[in-house]
Amino acid sequence: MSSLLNIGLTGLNASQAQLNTTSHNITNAATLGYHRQAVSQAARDPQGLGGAFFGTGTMVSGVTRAYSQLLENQVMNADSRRADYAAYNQYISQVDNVLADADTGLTPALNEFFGAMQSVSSNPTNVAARQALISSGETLTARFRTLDARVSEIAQGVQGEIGATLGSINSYAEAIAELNQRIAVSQANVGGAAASDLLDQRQQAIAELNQLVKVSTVTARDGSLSVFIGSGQNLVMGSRAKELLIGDKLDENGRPMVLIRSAGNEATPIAETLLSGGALGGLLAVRRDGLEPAQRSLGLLAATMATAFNEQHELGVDLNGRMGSAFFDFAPVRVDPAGTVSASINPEQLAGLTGSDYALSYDGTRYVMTDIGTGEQQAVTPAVGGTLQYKGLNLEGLDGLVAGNRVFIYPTRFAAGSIEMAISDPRTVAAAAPVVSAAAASNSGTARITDIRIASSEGMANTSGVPVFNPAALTFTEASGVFTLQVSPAGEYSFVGGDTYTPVSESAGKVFTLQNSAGFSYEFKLSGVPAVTGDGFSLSANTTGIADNRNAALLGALQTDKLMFGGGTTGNTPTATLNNAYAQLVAKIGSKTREVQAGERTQTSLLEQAQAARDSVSAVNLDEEAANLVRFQQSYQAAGRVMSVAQRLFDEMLSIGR
Amino acid sequence: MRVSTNMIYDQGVSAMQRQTAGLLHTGQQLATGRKILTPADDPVASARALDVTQSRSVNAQFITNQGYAEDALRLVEGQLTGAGEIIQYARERVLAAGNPALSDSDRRSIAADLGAQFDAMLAISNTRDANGDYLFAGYQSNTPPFAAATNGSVRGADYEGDQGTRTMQVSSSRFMPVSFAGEDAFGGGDGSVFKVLGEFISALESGASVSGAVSGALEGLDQSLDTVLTVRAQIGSQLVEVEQLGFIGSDLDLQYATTLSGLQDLDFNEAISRLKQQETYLQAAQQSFLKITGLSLFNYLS
Repeated sequence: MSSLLNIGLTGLNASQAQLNTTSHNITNAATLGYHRQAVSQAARDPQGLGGAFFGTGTMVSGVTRAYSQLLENQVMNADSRRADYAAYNQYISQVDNVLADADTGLTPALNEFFGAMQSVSSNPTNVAARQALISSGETLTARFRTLDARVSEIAQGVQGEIGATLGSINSYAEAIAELNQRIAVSQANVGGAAASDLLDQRQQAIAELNQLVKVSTVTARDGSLSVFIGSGQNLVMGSRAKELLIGDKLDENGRPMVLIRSAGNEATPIAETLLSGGALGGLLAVRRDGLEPAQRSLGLLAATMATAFNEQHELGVDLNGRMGSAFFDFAPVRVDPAGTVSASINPEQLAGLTGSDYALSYDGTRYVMTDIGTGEQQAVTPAVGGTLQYKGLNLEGLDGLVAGNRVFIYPTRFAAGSIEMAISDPRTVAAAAPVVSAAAASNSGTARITDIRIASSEGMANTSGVPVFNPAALTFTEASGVFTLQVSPAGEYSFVGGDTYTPVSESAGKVFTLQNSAGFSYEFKLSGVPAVTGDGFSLSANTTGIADNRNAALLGALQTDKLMFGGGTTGNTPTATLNNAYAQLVAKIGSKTREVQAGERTQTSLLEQAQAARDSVSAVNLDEEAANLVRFQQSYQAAGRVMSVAQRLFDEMLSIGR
Repeated sequence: MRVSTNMIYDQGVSAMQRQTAGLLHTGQQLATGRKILTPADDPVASARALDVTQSRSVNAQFITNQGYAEDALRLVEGQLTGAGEIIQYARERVLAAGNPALSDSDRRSIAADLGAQFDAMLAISNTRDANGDYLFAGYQSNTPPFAAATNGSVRGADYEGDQGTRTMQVSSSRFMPVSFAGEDAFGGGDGSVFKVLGEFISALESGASVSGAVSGALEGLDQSLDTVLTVRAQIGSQLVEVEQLGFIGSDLDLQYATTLSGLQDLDFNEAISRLKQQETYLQAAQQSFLKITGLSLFNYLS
């Protein structure tokens, strides 16, 4: 009788445990990271009586959670990749939006500026056209600065989020360390059984940490879990967590470095490449591969445009009869530390500029130039006197370096943010060329001089900037159809690269170069046939020729001239116009954005599949729980009925005795 | 497969989010009329659109310059037509002056008439354009190119401009001359129309017979007329060239516009039908979400 009562009681207990667990499942159906739990029941040990074994009821053998490490790992992998792409996308798509927008992009401002240049070329004496050029120059430089500022702003946003992300990572690391301890204690107390709900909490903390930075885990015998981030850097070990922080130490790109510190120790820098995956990985990558290259491209564009424009402008003459001055101003090449080595843009090799920043190191015998962005190294050999021409740069003072020295060179990095107009007076736009040709009135031949192009204006102007020099007088001598050009004053002018002219084969035009002893030089094209004797030309200074638009035409042509991406160390084969280069930047950012957006979509869908697979095993189904509720309610009632039968039997027994 | 309640909600919501995002994208395309909303939608087409935009803007600038060039050339042509007529008229007067039957006073009145033609010629050679620039001064557009000067009692005009020729870029490879130095249009030095006229006037004013000077003057005037007509012929052919460049320019503009439209513009029919389709899908997702989430065994437990 008592055994019947006991058996009923075990049933009641077990049913109650089942009902409790079912209720626990129902109430936690929406809890993040919750894994449904199940009570496992077993028959109690039987009792041997008279050669037979009799059952003694049921018992609860454990409460387990539906958990699959494999499925969890799949979710974590997809999730950290998704978070990586999402963080990248969040910031790169902002740059993407800014670049091609008709109101904020560079192309409309460039077109407007060069259109205004063409108007000056068509109406060189018209001050309104010149004013319009100055105004559109202001617009263009402001556009460069705005774009640069916008990218900087986005980069600052990234910087801020990196800081916040490190903060969150630290909180999760601490939470995991604490949970490790609680799990170890609780597990020891219950004799090795896992505390499902604590495990769930820890799993959830790891999952959330994993969204911030990719983690891998190793479980120890006491149930505590070691967490590694990125490529194996230990973050949590048992109940101890390390701390990630942004220090004030900058890397060679001027970026604050991520440091790691364990309690009581010095913080040490941790390589960015080790921190891959998760939002942090995405943030570091977008800063490194998205924002900085975009900003460098803008700087390269600004520096190239300004240098090319300034160079040509300085070869012209303005409405006041003075040689042109710089048209644009922008930050010069920065060398850090300054002092020993100095660097400037080499206008002769402008297309050699790459936009990259460099580290120049000297070990006592060898000079090595390292591209900071790509890490690519190249040995360089300075000329006697410590000068070096390298990728569009003129470097000086290399002989001042001592073994172990390293200098950082930032050629165009600050150009887009600092570019502005250097002139504001419309009269100072140098639309004219400083040299005019005149044929002697007595010329009887058909020879003509056209296409005068100034190669260098050095020594051309007096102290007030007015071109003043002796005219070059050209005459001809002839021997069997070959004319030789004579120039006077002979001590002052000389021909560079040939002075003979053969009208029979060259009358369509041959280019000659005259060099003056003061330093300046120019080209001109001679065509037609000069009379053997008597014909002559004079090439003189142009100070009042205000309707001359020759320099304006050359300035305007810079819009469609290939100025950029010459490759090699000298950049002698430019392949892109300014607008081409900008379009390339837009395409590059656009493709990257497209790639990460596609990546995010793919990983989101993989994540959903992985979550579905996991939830299929681990998550609560309320219908199932409702069924369990009914089922265990019934088993409870049945066990109760067993007890009431036992009661009835006992009563029967008593009534027999009455 | 075992289905959890979370899956029903999660997957329903994410399906609706996907549909909504698609619908929003199409809506934005319709609102802007653009196929490409950001370069990420089509990086290659975006970059190409920027290049074509520049080509189109450069071409538009050439078309504007063609207009400027045509105006400038027509102005010069008008002035040179006048100059040609003056030379023709002066030639007739020179011929008349050679008549031995003329009296001294007749010759003086012809001298006065030719003096007026000299002034008219000088005025033409010192014409200014709408910018106030002297047309025939070469680059020296601020100074009158021909300054009246007398050599003893002989009238003449010195050329004070230079030999510069203003050009305008009317196509990617053509810089068209739109001004002509005074020396090119009216002759320079001994060949100057002013020297020819001045010397003949001086001869007439002396009252003596000019029959000896007539042939020299006629030769000089014929040469001047030749010079003017040569420049006018050049202008004429340049005007034809500008007109042709104009046709090419507008053809190109149309081509660029078509290319740009192909790269950027939305096919509205396709987009509207897509919008309708996405709307239907979204509604279906919403309705099925409500249906599925409404089903629960708990509804039947009492």
